[in-house]
Amino acid sequence: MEAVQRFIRHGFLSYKALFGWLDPKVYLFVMVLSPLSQLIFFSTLVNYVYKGENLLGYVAANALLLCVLNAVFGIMSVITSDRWMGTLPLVMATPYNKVSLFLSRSIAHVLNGLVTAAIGLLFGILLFQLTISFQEGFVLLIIWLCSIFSGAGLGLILGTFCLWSPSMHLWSNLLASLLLLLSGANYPYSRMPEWLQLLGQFTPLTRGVQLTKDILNDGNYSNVAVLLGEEILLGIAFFAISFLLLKLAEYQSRTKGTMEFD
Amino acid sequence: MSLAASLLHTILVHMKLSIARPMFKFIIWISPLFYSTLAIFIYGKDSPETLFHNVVLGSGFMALWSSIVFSSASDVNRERFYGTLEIIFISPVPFAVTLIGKIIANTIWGLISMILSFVYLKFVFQLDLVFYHPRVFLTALLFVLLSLAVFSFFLALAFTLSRQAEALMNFIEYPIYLICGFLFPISYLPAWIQGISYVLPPTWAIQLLRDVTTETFSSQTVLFSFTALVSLTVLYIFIGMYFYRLMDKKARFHGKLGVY
Repeated sequence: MEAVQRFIRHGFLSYKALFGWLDPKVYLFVMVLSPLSQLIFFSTLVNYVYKGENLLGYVAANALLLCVLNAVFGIMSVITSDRWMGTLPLVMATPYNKVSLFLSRSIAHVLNGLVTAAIGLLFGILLFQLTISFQEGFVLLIIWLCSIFSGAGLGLILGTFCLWSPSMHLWSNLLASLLLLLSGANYPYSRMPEWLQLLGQFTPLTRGVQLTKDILNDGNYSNVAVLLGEEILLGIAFFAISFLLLKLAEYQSRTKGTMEFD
Repeated sequence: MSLAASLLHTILVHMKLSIARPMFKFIIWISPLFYSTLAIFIYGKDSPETLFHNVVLGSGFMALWSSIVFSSASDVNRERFYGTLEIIFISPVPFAVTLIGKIIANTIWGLISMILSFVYLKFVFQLDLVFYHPRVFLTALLFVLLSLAVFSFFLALAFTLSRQAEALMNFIEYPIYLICGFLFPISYLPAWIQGISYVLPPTWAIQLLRDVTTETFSSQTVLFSFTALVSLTVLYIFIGMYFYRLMDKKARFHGKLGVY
């Protein structure tokens, strides 16, 4: 019980440390208004191009995209903020389990991502005068949690890259662009060439976006179990890889002493 | 050293400094490919002119704008962060010349990025580049670049003067894409948003490029967007000059150049 309490306490302390010294306005811009503006832009664009067809699915898919991106960026910042503030060597030297440490720090960002997505979806629904039933909303919540789990795994992998590379912005923007492109959140998935569709199968979000569109546009629930299973497996694989990378970074930091160098 | 030589030197040095940053490399070389691919996937099949106006010009313009908003606008702040802002400010070369040099350097990179986007869409997605009147297009593009450089000068000073404006920097990317109609006509937006669109130079800049690349092009069809762009550019020159004086006062009277 003590371990669980410490796990939760550490996660929220870390989250408060990241945003505690920031002006609330900055938080509002970075975590709410900026994602919202992206959602409004893409929703308006697809509404114009597809003349309103299947709009609800696209709005929700964009909300999911924001949700995952927010969670992923937050998890990446868990590692990079330590590097930035000069506390990374202390964190790596502590006897506490690193996997558990970074996982506990990720929780608040996952919740934060969900809040952003909920605001985005609500805003999109109000803006375009759409409707969503309670049942659809509940199933979406489960799907989105699985997609966030999978996205968080990938975020942690890229976060570990930041232990070797100082270019956090580069990695995070590259990931955001890739997810925006490969998820098919703004166009039918079949529009992509086959090799991109194949690549999309190995990225988080693709299945979440497909299910979101299936449920909201066609009322089709037949693929939920299979695709959610695949999304969870993908997430587990991502976390396993990120743990291995963390172990490698930890080992190298002790043997080479080159952590924080390019 | 003459001012022209200083300006040229600033442009060359700043082009090297900018492209040395990994994030800027991403904005110039990678980002346009993502935007272009995204735009073509969203539009799918449409008439060549629509695809050119909304996909080719739109994504190219997004690349150009990204270079401006994420570099020129934040360059002064970057100097402040490095602790070199005061040194640049008191050097014998006027600060305005240094700032204009930085903006021209970033605009050149933005133009390269825009051309990359055109080439990519032409050769990878086989889109038609419908330059019916190449010379007119190049002239219009020159005015567009000048206008965006002026707007960039205004933004750089606004972000220097106010922390509130600086908080806006990371936020304005998508709103500008939306409000200025980079990927779709602004006539599709609600009337109250169009009111904001009309006072922003990027709106008229992309409209002018669309107007000069229509098959039915005539001097009459581009007159309105051209006049609006030139008028707004002149207005932003005056606002920029006023902001520059404010910054000068902030530095010399209050000694607060390095802080807000």
